[in-house]
Amino acid sequence: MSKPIEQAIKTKITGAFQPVHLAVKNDSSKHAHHAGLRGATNVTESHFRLTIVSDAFAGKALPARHRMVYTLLDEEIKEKGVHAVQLKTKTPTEWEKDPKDL
Amino acid sequence: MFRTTVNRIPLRSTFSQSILRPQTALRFLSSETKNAIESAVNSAKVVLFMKGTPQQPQCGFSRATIQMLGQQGVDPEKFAAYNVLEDQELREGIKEYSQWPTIPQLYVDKEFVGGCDIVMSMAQSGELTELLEKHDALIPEEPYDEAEPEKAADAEVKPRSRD
Repeated sequence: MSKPIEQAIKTKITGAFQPVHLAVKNDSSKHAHHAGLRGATNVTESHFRLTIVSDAFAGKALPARHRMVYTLLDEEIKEKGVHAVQLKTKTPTEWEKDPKDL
Repeated sequence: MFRTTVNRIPLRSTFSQSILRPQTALRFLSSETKNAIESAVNSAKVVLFMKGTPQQPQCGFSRATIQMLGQQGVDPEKFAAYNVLEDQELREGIKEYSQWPTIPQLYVDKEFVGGCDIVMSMAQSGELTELLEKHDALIPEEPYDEAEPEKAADAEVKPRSRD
């Protein structure tokens, strides 16, 4: 089964953040019947959980980190029907203290 | 002139609807929409833009956020929730206004705090309690009067503080 959006997410994030760790999980099936997805064309790649560990996040508060990722995935969110991107954004130091994927 | 009235949905009382009337879905923020959103953001100390209502959330992330705010002991008098599913203009407008593509969105004292992940992370680290206390958004504790200990027997049982 092709996963174009998942692939695009991985490519973009790897390119922009050079993460030391990246985990991309697809939760779309858990939401396929929910009210917010009524009438949507994309129900198979609509909800993702990302864990990104990168130095790019150093010195930035959480909202700023999340905005960096949202800006990168703007097209997927605004045009490709991605509804939710849950994020865990850590620097390598923060990650070492608790290396658990979202 | 586009008139908007904005109704608050108190955390613990009966459901009342936000009555921003949708016109056409706007990609960019018209000044009317912007003003309506600003009134919403200013309407209470703690403002949550969510899917569904506090009593009936329509999305797991919105539900989780409401639950966390409840657990923190946010004062219902200082809280307002807006259901973006009721109003397409609000749903699109708030994303432009906050420069944030997802719902739920939490504002404290007119400042954007974050979505579900951020609220959860702050709840776990204690930062959320700190923020809410700093902005005086929590249910006030009743003062315990040392001179009249029998009052304590009638006092409401408060949730134990979690450290």
